[in-house]
Amino acid sequence: MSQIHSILLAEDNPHDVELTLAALGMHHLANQIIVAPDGAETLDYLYCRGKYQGRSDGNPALVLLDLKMPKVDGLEVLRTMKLDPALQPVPVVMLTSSREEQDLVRSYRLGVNAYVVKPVDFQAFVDAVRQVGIFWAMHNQPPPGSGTTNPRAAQSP
Amino acid sequence: MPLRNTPIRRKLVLVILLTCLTVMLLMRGAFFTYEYHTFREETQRELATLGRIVAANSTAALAFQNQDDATEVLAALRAERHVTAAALYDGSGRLFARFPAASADALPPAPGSDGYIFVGSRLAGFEPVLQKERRLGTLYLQVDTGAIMSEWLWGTFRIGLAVMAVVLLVAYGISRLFERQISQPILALVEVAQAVTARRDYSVRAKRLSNDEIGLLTTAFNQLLVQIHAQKTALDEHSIVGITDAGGILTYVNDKFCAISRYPREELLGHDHRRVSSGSHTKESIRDLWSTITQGRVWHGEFRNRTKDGAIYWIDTTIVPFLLPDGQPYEFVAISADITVQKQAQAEILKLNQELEHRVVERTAELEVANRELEAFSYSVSHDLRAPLRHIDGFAQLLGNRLNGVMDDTSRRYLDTVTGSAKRLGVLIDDLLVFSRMGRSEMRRSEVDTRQMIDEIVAEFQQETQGRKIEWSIEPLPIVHGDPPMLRQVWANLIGNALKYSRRRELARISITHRLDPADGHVFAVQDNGAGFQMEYAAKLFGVFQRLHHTNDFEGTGIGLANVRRIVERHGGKVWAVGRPDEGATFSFSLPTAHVTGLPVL
Repeated sequence: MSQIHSILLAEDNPHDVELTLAALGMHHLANQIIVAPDGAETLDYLYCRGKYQGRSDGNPALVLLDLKMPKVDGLEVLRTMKLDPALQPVPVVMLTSSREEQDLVRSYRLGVNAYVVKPVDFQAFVDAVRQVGIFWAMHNQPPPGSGTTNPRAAQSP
Repeated sequence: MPLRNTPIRRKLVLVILLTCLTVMLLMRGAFFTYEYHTFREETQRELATLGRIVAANSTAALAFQNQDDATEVLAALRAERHVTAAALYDGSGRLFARFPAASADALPPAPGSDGYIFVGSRLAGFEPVLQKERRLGTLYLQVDTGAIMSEWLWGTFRIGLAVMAVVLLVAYGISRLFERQISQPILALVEVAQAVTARRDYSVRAKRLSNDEIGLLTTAFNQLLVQIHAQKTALDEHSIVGITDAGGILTYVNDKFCAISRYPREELLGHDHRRVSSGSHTKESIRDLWSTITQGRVWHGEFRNRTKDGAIYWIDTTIVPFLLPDGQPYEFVAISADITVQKQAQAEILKLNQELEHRVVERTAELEVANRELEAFSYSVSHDLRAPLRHIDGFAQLLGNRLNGVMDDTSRRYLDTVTGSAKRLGVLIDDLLVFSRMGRSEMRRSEVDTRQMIDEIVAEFQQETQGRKIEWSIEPLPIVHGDPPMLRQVWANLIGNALKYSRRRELARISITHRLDPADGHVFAVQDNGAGFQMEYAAKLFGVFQRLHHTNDFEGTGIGLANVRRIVERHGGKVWAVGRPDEGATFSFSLPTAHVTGLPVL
């Protein structure tokens, strides 16, 4: 079995977090997940600052990014990451409710690696999350510098 | 002075006098010729008589051969002034005696035949001297007729001259009398005509003085005046008329001119058009006007003028130059119409247009704001509304998984209803968002192979229609110009509907047809033999959330056909439907051919 890499889930909605974790958990991917409840904390994690100061587990193998989040939104996080040579290689998958063309266009312009619309149908949602998780966290070879992690990251309140 | 420039009255006198003179001369000539002949015959006769008397007196002298007596007899001829020569010849023809004044050379050497003849200006002849039938000798007589003639002629001439003088005098008197009769009405006519020209007063009439040709002329002239007066009245009724001399000084203005300019006539006449000028015309335009009319050409244009009390009025003017025979204008006639109201209306329209444009700009800005709001709304719908739905469905399923085995059928049904409704709401929201996007998103036109698109769509439905018997009939279809994803939406919807509503048929028949309409362009139709609809509801078919069937019978959100209409209308076409309950439906739409690139060869 491939090594399981850590996944950073940036999602402000606790229900979505729970559903996503449930979907990932069905496939035993849940213990590799760090959840950030907004864009600011997502960036804190990535830059090892604030409450994540001093963490030493490297970049996540995958960032699952919601578009609409308080403080700093997903697109802003994406832009910051793709402009930073250190974070630029980290794969980012948009996991969002929005099918809006402009969101898609802007995301791809900023260099997103994949764009997944959360289906309303839970079964479809589970399938989508599973495929994304398995592909990016298990099969995909992450860029050097990504670390495996223990589920010690802050959970959303 | 040439005759044609002579006044008629003098011509008349001349004609009469000349006629009289000619008649007189002709008559005198004829009379003279007659008298001349009579005179010659008379002279001949007189000479013959004289000859016979002298011959009778000479009988004795010849009979007795007495030369002295004979000479005495001939000498008696002295009493006759005109006798120039006379002689007596004896029976043997020898000269016997002669008239003393005559020389022998002037006499003929021997007597000729009897009788008198004219020789030049003389009359001469021989007369026999007889005694009881016996010829004793011959008498010769010669008279100078020239002197007699000139005497007679002088007398005749004097008489003729006197008669002629009297006749001409009488004729002159008579002609003067008639001349007045003829020339007076003509002169009267001339006077009226001159008055009309000078005062432009067409209401005066010439007085008819006679019933002859001049009377007719007067009547015709008056009729002409009536006509001109009527036309002038009509012109004055409609137009503003001003006439200037060659220098542009007003010499005539009609009542309308005074009325519109609010100037009394006397304050206009003698001034030029600057009197009413508002000063709003450029020097160039005025120069252009003058150059046009002084070259004898008609000018047409508009003036912005000022009344005496300062108000502005507009006139539409035609200026016609009246030209002398040498082409120089002597008068300019300006005929104008008051267009102030039109100009005001124009200005009003311009103002309204500007206001309208302004309002359009404002409204467009408002619409843009509204559009942005709508976009923001649909964005939040797509994002915020779907999230709770997903949670309902997700947690209902998680609950189902958790209670699996301990849940009764009713609880299971409840839970299924929760997830089913959530899914349906999700579909509704998705459709609504697509519909909203179809109205807002930019069209990207390109060539679309209709047949290929339909084949792809039919293939996509294959899984759904597995096990069904469907008879497809697809006519040759053209390549059209349009937004491919949008047109795909249209076809997918119409074909999907045809499949959906015909699914209860044992054999579904779906046909897709195309024709070219001169007005509408491409007309496509999708016909099925499905559930159909009542025509009275046809208008509702294309409205958002309008459905003619219950969801239990045929599922659907009521967005599809609204989407079809929106897309087709954005392409410049239209949609319509024909159907009967239980007999199927035909949905048609048109696409203008402006962008057609050609029919494929099939």
